[in-house]
Amino acid sequence: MRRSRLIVQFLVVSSIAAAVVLLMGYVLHRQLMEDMPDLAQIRLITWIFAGLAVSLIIGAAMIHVRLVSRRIERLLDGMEGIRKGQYPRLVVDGADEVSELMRGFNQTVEELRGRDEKLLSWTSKRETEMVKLSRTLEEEKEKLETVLDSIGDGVIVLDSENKVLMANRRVSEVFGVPLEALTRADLGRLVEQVRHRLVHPDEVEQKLHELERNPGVVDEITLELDEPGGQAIRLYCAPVRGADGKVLGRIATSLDLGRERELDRLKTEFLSTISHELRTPLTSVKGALGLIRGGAVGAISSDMRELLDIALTNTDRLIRVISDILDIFQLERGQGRMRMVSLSLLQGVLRAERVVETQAELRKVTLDIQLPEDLPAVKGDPKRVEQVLVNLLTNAIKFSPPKSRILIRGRQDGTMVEVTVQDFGRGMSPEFRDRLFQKFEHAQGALMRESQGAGLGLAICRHIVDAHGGRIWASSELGQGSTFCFTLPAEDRPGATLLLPGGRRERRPEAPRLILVIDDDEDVARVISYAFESQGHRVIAAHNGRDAIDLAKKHRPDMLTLDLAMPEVDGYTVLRALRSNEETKKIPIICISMETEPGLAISNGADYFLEKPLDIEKLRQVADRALAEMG
Amino acid sequence: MPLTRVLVAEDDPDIQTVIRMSLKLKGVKEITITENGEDCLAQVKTARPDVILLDVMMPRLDGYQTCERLKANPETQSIPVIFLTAKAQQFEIKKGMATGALGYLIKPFDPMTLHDQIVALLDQKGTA
Repeated sequence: MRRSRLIVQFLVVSSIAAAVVLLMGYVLHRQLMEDMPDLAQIRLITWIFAGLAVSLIIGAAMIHVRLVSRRIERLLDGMEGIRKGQYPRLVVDGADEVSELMRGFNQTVEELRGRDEKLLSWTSKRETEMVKLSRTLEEEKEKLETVLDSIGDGVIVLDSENKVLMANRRVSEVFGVPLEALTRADLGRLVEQVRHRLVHPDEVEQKLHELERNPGVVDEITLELDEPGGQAIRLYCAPVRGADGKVLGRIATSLDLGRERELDRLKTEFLSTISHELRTPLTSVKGALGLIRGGAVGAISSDMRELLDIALTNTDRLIRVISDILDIFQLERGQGRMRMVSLSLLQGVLRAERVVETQAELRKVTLDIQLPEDLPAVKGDPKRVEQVLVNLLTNAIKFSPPKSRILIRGRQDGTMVEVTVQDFGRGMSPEFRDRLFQKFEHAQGALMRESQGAGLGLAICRHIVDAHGGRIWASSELGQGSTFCFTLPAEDRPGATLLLPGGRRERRPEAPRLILVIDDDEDVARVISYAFESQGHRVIAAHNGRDAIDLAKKHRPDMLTLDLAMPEVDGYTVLRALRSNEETKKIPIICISMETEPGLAISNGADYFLEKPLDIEKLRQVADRALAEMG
Repeated sequence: MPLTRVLVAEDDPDIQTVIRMSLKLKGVKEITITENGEDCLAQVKTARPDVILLDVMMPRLDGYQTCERLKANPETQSIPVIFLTAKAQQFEIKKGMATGALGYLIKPFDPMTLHDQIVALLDQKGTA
């Protein structure tokens, strides 16, 4: 254990003092041991020794204190120097504790100086870096602002409380607020600034509230301004999320719809013009060919007829392509408004069947309709639903091998009705199946010539079904045929009214009947057929007496209409033939003739007689009566 | 009631021929062809048509304006007007029907059924 030097010094001084006291004691003892001690001398000695001892002790103490205190003062001065930011060095003399303390002080000061120098150097380095960083940040900010300002559309960065953190010049122009005033402004307040110019202020307000309530959603707000020039701005708001997925704020881009609308207008104008310019010459071509084919300029040979048919078919094909292009354009822009009514799918399928009938006959393909009796009505646009069915059936016929069948089925699936068109043709590859409902997609290259279209049919179908809230899809494998399915919203009740193209509503018949229309004038036959088809009946037509008798025997229709004036086998002959045959003798027959006297027809077996020109409404009334009587 | 008199406003001479032949073939006796809306308005009183067929894109006065004027005139407003045009976009059809037309037929049309289509439209509206 280390002994304190100060204590040693103290012990030395104490020992000297003690020695002086002892010496005094000894001298006194000697004086007292004498026979006649001199008391005065003793007193003097005592005073001398006592004074000496005290002087020694005081002198030693004073010297000691002086030595220690001077060094402590130096220490205190040193500490004061440190406080002032100096690094004082103390002169150390001696080897006692105070000297050691001073040495320690000097060492600490040296360490402090070293650390301070290091810190200063680090700080200065960091300061340089900070200045550099700050300059870079400033440059980046300027760049960002330049970029933002050069964007034609407005950009607003919002915090989680919808307050503006950053915005560009366009936003300032749109809202009529100085750029500086935009910072920390509330989005709601900004919209409020233009409220008087908004066409639908309440809708905008509601949308803003929705955004505030659901900060995580991506949404759009369209600000339709009534002036100047009916400007419209679409604010596209998307959440900005942190690494933890938490919504930090929003970024809103404002798009001036004026330019978009102008482009749209130009597109519409272009399509309208191009469609008009294509249709006009086609009208002349189709018209001229149709008139020649129809015999307007005299009889034509079978070769001429064949060639005219080719020309007409291809004219129609071209017209279809133009219509499809126009159609897809309108549907894509949401302009193909659906006129939703309650409609029977059976009616739609039957009408579509009628459209593709000739095509199916040419390819010797049978359409097998298997729709259940209790299939509910669907909510849809009759023309558009028919368009989907015709498209699917046309495709199925195109890709079906001869003498095969196409199966049309329907079933209820929850709140939807699912319609399936299945063919047993060559099918398609999975790659093609995935692109099937895209625009301008054809079956594989090798089939392109056969597919004969712009590749828009299925894309149109998808748009139509989507607009009905349904879904369309296909399943197929090469060599295994294809199945196309689509769904439409089911109506609550099974019975349905049918909206005719002309807008009249008609009661759906309890069950569709098969009607044979016999007329050598194909146009008249078409008009009569349409009158019955639009009521939901199925119609087959014959254009001469012989075919009429054959078809009546083969199909045994529920009713037939018969033109009396036909070349070769006339209507009277047909009447007699049908009435004399067991299978056909009970079929109700409505005779239609230019003659005004029904007697001969009735006597030959006709049930009803109607004069030409035909009154369609009267024909329907008579037909309803005939079918009702038949039961 | 069969169609007897038809007034047509059509600027394309080829289409004029097709319409004339198509209607004549179906027994229409008087077919008056005019080349624009103004001529159509000028001739409507003398032609006294059962129906007017109007093209849309015509010089001087287009089909929409012609129909509007026909419907604004008490002497001609009861004559059924049917557009026969290549303007086939939905907004164009809507615009045409808004002028008070009875129907809207889109070109190209089938010349063999044009007459029947007109009659069907007239029947449907109970005008024939």
